Amino acid sequence: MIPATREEVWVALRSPEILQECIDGCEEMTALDTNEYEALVRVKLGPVRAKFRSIIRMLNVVAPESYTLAVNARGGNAGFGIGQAHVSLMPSESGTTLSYEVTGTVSGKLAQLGSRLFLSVANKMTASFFNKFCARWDNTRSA
Amino acid sequence: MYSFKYHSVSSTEEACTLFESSESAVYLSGGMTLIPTLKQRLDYPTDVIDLGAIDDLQGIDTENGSVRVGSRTCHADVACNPHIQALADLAGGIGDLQVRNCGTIGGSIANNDPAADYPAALLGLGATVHTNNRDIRADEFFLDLFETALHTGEIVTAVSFPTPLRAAYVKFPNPASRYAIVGVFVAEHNTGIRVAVTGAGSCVFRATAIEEVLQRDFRPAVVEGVSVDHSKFNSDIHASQEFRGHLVTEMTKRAVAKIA
Repeated sequence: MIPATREEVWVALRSPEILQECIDGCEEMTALDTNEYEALVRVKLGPVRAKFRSIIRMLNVVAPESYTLAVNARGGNAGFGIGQAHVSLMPSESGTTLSYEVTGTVSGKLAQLGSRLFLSVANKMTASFFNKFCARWDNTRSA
Repeated sequence: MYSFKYHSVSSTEEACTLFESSESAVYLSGGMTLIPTLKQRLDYPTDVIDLGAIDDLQGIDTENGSVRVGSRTCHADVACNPHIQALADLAGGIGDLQVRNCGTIGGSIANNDPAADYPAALLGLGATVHTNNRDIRADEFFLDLFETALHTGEIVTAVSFPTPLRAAYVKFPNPASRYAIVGVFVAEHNTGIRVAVTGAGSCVFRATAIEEVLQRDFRPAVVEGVSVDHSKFNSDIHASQEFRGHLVTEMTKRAVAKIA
């Protein structure tokens, strides 16, 4: 639930600065194209630390309603991650309701050691992103 | 493995001072998670601080109805101490012989792997974690996937377990790693029943709905009627969310049957 119109939320979800601010450990975020971004994300999870260079593409874009985020992350020695998140925005009485669904797989060493953890990690990172994203609106309003 | 500076320290104070002055340091306890991670180059600390030579962190003491286990005590030593039999059984079922002889209780709980066994014992027994500067109740210690209440650089020095009236731990182990696909620790204390579940979710948790029915009637059969919400459970090639949900019920029944 975000206290803003669907159009405002849509624009924010596509701003590299706002994306970088809301992704844990995101050190760089550049827009390569209208629907393509490159990000450098540092992930610390239990015993593992890795830096992922990721290409993020927005597919099936239906402005300002829904899109699919396709993330292709290269963690160098640690392995690869491929993830998808389907995001949809629904207008509601007091703002916009944001919902999402995540799927993904990892390969390489991360998969050998951590495949049993992958879903938990993906969910945790996504939840943290949307929490920060939603909290941002509250802060903007009260500021 | 990338190169790093190795330090052996003789006190927790020395360890903390070194930790703070290093660019990115890690503590080495038993090394059963850290060493494989370093060998795979999945972490690259500048400094590794070995706690193995700190004498006060070793050993088990039984005092006023509780058992205090030093953080550097290996699983094999806990497995040999019958004061709390369920705790000994749990420690004896961790990993393999090498892991039990090297791995330590402090290392296990500081890492907080979602499938580790010890977190279930700490939460089920209502233990207290002692660190170099405070005491933390188990209920407040395990926060989330690999996350604990420990501050950066803080060191676990010991864990105190109150002796329960009766307790049992049963797990459905992964046959290769012996990590718990689901493990359930059931304990009865003067204050009530505690049921702690590991392996099922992103972090150990108490199954409060099961605790309530066992509080009224301590029999395996009553557990059957409690529905377990598996929507947030882990899912992997070994077990689906539904199966993990089923295992929570089944492991709880077996644990209750052991001591009912």
